[in-house]
Amino acid sequence: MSSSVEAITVLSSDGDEFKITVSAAKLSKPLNWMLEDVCFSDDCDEVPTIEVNSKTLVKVIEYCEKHAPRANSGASDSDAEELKKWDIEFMKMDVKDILFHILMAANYLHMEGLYDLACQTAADLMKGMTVSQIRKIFHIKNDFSSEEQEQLRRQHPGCSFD
Amino acid sequence: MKPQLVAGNQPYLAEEIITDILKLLPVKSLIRFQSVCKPWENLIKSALFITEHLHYSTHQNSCLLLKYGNFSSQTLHLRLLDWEMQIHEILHSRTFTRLIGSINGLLCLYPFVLWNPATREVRQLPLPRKQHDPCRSTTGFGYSPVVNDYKIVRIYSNFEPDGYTLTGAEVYSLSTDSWKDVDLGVLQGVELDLYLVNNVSANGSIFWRGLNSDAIVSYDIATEVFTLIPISTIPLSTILTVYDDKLALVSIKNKWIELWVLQKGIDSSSETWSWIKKHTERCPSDSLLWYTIWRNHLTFYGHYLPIHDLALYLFKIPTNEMKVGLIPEVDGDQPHYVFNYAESLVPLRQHPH
Repeated sequence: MSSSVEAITVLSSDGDEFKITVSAAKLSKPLNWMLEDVCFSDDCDEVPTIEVNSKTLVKVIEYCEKHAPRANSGASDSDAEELKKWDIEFMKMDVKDILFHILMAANYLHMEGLYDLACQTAADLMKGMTVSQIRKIFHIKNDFSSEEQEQLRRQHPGCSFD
Repeated sequence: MKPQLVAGNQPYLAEEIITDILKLLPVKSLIRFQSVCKPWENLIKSALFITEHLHYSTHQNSCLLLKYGNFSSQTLHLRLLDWEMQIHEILHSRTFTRLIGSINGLLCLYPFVLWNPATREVRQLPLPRKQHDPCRSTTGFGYSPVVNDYKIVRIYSNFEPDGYTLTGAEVYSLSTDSWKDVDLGVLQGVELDLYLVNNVSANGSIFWRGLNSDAIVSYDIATEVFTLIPISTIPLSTILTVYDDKLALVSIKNKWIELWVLQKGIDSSSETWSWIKKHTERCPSDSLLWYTIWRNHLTFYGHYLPIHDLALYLFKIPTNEMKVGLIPEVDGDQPHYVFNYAESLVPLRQHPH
């Protein structure tokens, strides 16, 4: 890989161009492979596409750029503390709109840190929700008959199902 | 699971992603979410999910189970302390007088009942066949992943002129729901006082420390074999606890606290045991009421000399970074003893396979 390359250009699934630095791309194995392909390829004009929409890719790249310096050098405790605070702020975006997309992107791009963070955010949001709220955000149809529902309640006396 | 879980404007989340989110949820939410749809119900009830949830709960979400009152008290009073130092009442009973052990979110109470406080499931157990005077028996509770079974072990002893001698043992298995006699093996006739000593379960075995003895009794839940493990180099003032799913000893000697972890090595002829010193810490106090390991912290309850307040002092392993917690007082009661606890979905019905 040529050391002169500091950033590569990628396309989102919507066809928008994004720049991502080499060190940030190292947070994701698939991105890293793409980067090596681009750098070693004879045909350097080809811009690789990432199957993530623009709105999500902006957030993913923002996360990568923030975490890359620490991931590459090893973090001190105070850095780790600061990064934790940044993560909390980062996840305060309009989560319900974009969180599932972030989860899928992090899974597809093999980004363990972002994936765990997004799972925890989703879990924190969900834990106090009612069953009907969960069905609404996941667009799930209730497939229980009323008898089956009653049976579930009987299995867990004293537990709230609303 | 069918891919109809998420539709409309939301993307389809793969089953794998949904599982990864759900396993971070508290048991209370998961019981409720069984009624979201059938695929979720099947997932939450599956043995694999229960194991994955337990793993997360044990490593990231464990609590201290505090026992109030003393050994002679006729009631059993238990409260949970979470990492945010919030207290949760879980049991105040006159029916049960002792907590025998706590593992994988299940509690074994005396007289014999298994209880999962998170799912509220209770299982009444048959009585042991030997109705011995309880002073002459010691009990332990544990789990072995090898046989995927929970067992309760009772070791009986007789008082003889020189002291207590071990005479027999009985084991209850959750998978067969019955008691049976087991051979004490090398322990038969050994002079050892096991009266009211604590037991812990780790790595598929149950362990007891004899009173004033330089040996630990271990019972392998899968093979049902008793062993005596020597602890010659470690001082007597120790407690048994669990570190990294291994048996650990916390000992106090000359104002220093040491954490020793048991390594089991198997050479060609016999099992060998060795103790590795994992951590050393200046003893915070002369007056510690109890201590344990909690979320990778050496955890002490007592008066800390420079500060002098009765509090919970937590030292991170291996950095020694200190955190102080106050256990909220309820009715002026102080916790007398501690167990580790992580909530789980582990069912008490017969194992499904």
